[in-house]
Amino acid sequence: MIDLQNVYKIYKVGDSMVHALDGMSLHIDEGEFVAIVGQSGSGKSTCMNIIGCLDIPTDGKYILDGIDVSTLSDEELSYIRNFKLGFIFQQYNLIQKLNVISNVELPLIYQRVPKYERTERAKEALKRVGLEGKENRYPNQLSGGQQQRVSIARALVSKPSVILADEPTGALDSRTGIEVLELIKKLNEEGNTIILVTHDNGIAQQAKRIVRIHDGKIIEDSATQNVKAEQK
Amino acid sequence: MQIAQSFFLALKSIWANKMRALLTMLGIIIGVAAVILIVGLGNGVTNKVEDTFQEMGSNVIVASAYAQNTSKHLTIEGIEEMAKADDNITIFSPYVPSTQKVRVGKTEKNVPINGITGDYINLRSRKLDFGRNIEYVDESRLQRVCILCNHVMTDFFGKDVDGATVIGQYIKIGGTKFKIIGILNEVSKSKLSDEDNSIFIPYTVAQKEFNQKYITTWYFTYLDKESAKTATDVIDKYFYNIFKDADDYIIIDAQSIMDNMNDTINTIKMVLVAIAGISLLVGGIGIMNIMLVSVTERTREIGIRKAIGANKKDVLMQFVIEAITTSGLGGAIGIALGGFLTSVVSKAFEIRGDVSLDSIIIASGISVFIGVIFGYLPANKAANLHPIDALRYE
Repeated sequence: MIDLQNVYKIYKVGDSMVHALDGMSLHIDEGEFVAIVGQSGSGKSTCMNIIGCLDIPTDGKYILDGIDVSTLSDEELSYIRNFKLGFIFQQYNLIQKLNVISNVELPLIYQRVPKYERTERAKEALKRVGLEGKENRYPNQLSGGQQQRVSIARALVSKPSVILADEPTGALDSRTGIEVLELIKKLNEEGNTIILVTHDNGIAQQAKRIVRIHDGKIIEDSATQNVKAEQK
Repeated sequence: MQIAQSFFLALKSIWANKMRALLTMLGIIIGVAAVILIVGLGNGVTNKVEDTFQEMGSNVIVASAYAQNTSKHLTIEGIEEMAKADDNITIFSPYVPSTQKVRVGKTEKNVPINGITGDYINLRSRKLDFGRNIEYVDESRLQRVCILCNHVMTDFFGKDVDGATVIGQYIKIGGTKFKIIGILNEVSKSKLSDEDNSIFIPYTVAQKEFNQKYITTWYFTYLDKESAKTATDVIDKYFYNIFKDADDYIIIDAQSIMDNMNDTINTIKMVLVAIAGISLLVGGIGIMNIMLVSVTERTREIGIRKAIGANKKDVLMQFVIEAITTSGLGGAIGIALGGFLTSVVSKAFEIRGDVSLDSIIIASGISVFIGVIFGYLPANKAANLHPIDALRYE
């Protein structure tokens, strides 16, 4: 489903070239729960941006659902993000002026989904993350954990191929962080493909597969201990 | 769908920043109000001019010659011959004006007394409410008869008098008794107009009674608008042949004066509207400024929207609609304010100010247009933000 083939991302900083991704190849199948781990500066954010179609590789191929994304135009990338990807951010990134249900509906607005269907689907997504009855609240009336659930609902609502979570627990205390992780795990069990980007090994262990990045290269790609334990 | 949402979001954000929105819209409000007011008052002045000339009569030429003597003077026979010879001139009447003391019983007042032929009444499109017009016999036999304006009648005989009973009664003009033969209808809106406050007598009687050897003023009517110029030229030529000096007489054609005045008023109006247009331009720049601020403030929001699938066009639309909503709302307030001011000022200056539908449509169009033009640049800036940079923006 996700296929990175020898992907390079090279930035020019001053006179020198920085290889944020240095010939990375990665394959992720449908239904997987992958954690991409690395220190800051390792290239994991660049990797996530490319997988999330927010950026295109300097060289190499990125194939998502059989589409070669590396050649797409800005408009087409927007379309892919809209239909195939769901984002969960560290800072929730909800629009403060919009109430909860409008925030969740947003991806569907850009898909030109009619109003009635939009509301239905947004309600259903909110139900899945346990936020029934909070539709008309505004983000600043919710706790951090609840806001992150809204953003998860927003990522879910468009039924994407892949959900990308960038440090989803980074802004939460450990207890609500665990709750959010449990929710993400549940989503994976329901069949969603999830890519979790984090610097925290403890959190990464919650996934089923760990891809460790250093200096723009994959230095480890293995099943997590949980999975290994299960397999035994 | 998205347009409606953008529109409501824009209204919401205007409402949330009332003060800022008002200041942003102020330029548009003032500009639009000024345009509406200027056009409205301009129409009012045009109406006033038209009313004034309507009183003078349409298709009327007035010719006056004050420097007459035994060797150079006008005669009714000469004028008649000239008028008959040219098809453009339809009817004419001499006009012998004076002001005399008029008395009925104990009531005495100074009233304009104008000597005319019966044609004058037709020429000015007046109607007799009661009685009859001045006839040729009245002129030739120097009959002391008179026609009163409705106003003059009520002044002397009381407000509730029946016009029919006044016919046949006598009135003293400058000490001489005159028989009332007719009552004229009221034409003017203004109570001060001479047309509604005069007494008309046969011109021959006026000449004799008030010692006017020569007839200074003549009224003519012409066939239609096209014949105005020719008729004026014919009269001018005739007068010139008699006086040999263009400074000795004056010929006024109501229509051409009115046209000239309307041209002048329109020119002034256009200049003022252009000046008001500068305010609209400044208002547009104000909107652009605030929109740029708004785009910067909402960089993160734009990043979020783009990350979850908004394309350039979606973001562009959102901000353009926001700009249009701001300028459109400013325009609407401006139209209301302009309309209100027009009615207030019209009342104060006693003119019929008229906020025309055209000016409302044009003003609305311009304010929406300003939203598009000056909203485009900031909206384009927003649309071209890179989602990664925008998301990282604090």
